[in-house]
Amino acid sequence: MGKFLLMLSGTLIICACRQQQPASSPTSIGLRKISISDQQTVERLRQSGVKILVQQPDYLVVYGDSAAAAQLRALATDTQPATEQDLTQRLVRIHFTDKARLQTIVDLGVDLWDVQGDSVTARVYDLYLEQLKQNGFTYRILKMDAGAPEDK
Amino acid sequence: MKFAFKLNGRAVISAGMLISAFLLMGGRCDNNGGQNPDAGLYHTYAEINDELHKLAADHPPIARVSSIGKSVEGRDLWAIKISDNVTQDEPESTVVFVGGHHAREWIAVDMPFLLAKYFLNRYGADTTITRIVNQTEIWIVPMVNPDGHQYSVTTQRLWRKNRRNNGDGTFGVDLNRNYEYEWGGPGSSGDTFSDIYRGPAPFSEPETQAVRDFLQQHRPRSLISYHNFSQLILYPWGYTNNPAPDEPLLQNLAVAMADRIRVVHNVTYTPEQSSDLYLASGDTTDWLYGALGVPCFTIELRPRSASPGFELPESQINPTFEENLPAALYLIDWSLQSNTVTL
Repeated sequence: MGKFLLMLSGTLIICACRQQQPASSPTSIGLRKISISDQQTVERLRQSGVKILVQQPDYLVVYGDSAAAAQLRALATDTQPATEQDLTQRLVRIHFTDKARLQTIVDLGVDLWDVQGDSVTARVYDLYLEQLKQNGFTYRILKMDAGAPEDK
Repeated sequence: MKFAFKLNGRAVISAGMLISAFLLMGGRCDNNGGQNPDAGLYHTYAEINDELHKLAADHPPIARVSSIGKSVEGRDLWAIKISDNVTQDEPESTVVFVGGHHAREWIAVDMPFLLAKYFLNRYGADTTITRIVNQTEIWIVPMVNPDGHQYSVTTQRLWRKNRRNNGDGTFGVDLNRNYEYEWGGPGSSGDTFSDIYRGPAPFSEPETQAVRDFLQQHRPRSLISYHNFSQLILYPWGYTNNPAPDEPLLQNLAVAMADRIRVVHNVTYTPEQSSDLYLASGDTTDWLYGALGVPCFTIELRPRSASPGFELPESQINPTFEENLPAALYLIDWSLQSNTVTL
């Protein structure tokens, strides 16, 4: 009886520890992390059309569909699944001119913290910074890692 | 398997004790960095759980705790009902206070929890509180997003969403973009990595499903959903700049609550239509008003600006509660008086 209970409990523990894994889109490659040692790799990836979500000094986090996967293979780039710890965001102050422009910022998907006058404080990925730039917004980076503790 | 069969009785008992300890600690391997995290004077999930049950145990005739559902990771979404004859569903006005849709907004959990504590501790001693507890059914759901809150306490202070595994290396759905009414509209994102990710479908999350089912069952007369920060009192709509059909009423109630807040500590909360800030769709109040016609408000608590932002100092917990109490009481009183009025 005791042995049976032990085995049953072990099975329950294994079940409890399994992470929930919903199916991802078959066309998505998910978020991939790429170690980088030089700027040329970044430029090659950028020109290939792969979307760069995060750009850190030593790695990129990219994403895309199956076409992006093919591009990565063509560039012979080794990738690995990105983790949450890789998803660094910047804290920025973004300037806008009117409410329609503010809505453009919001609709990009940024994490908007605060609206004061003609600027907002937001937490953003590098991908969103690139899109802000393309949309003609000006911004100032307040913190390179929005999640890092404040300097004392 | 062979190893298990060779275990002697002592080994079986030891293993059983280890397993029991594991199960007692919550039985989860969810990488939350410990089972008893500390949020200082703010309440963690475990503390909310303990204290709500203790409050109910200390006030059995007027308080009852129940779970309205479970989170993605299996935590209970606790609610406390406060009313005389608490075990009965009486034909009284129901007023609901919810908090903690967003993980990092710790004050938005403590605010409704402190309301519950205040009502229960003042019952019988304070005539106003005794009257409203006797005449209404007050429901408080202080932590709608327990998984996210736990993650914010243990791992990433500024986490916003729930802890849904999106299956692509990202986690979380923004619960306050996941409600069905005008889901997928402006101010929400389809990017799983976005902090305003609306989820794959309206009500895709067990947390929002639980709130939806609870509100459909209890049909409140009014509701406040607490968030922080910015010091605002927001009313529908959020998804459009058009005014809501009951805009004059919603505005009057919001202004009245802001007036009552200001007299306490001379702190200003701005009353406005939610979309005056910017358009955002799929939130709690748009759904509750749009689907059920319930007057409802999002109150963005202290502070005013991004510094200190979400990390409101503990010293401001009580002042925040003190100034928001008269606004909550006002809405309860309005709900009582307007019970026969049809919007």
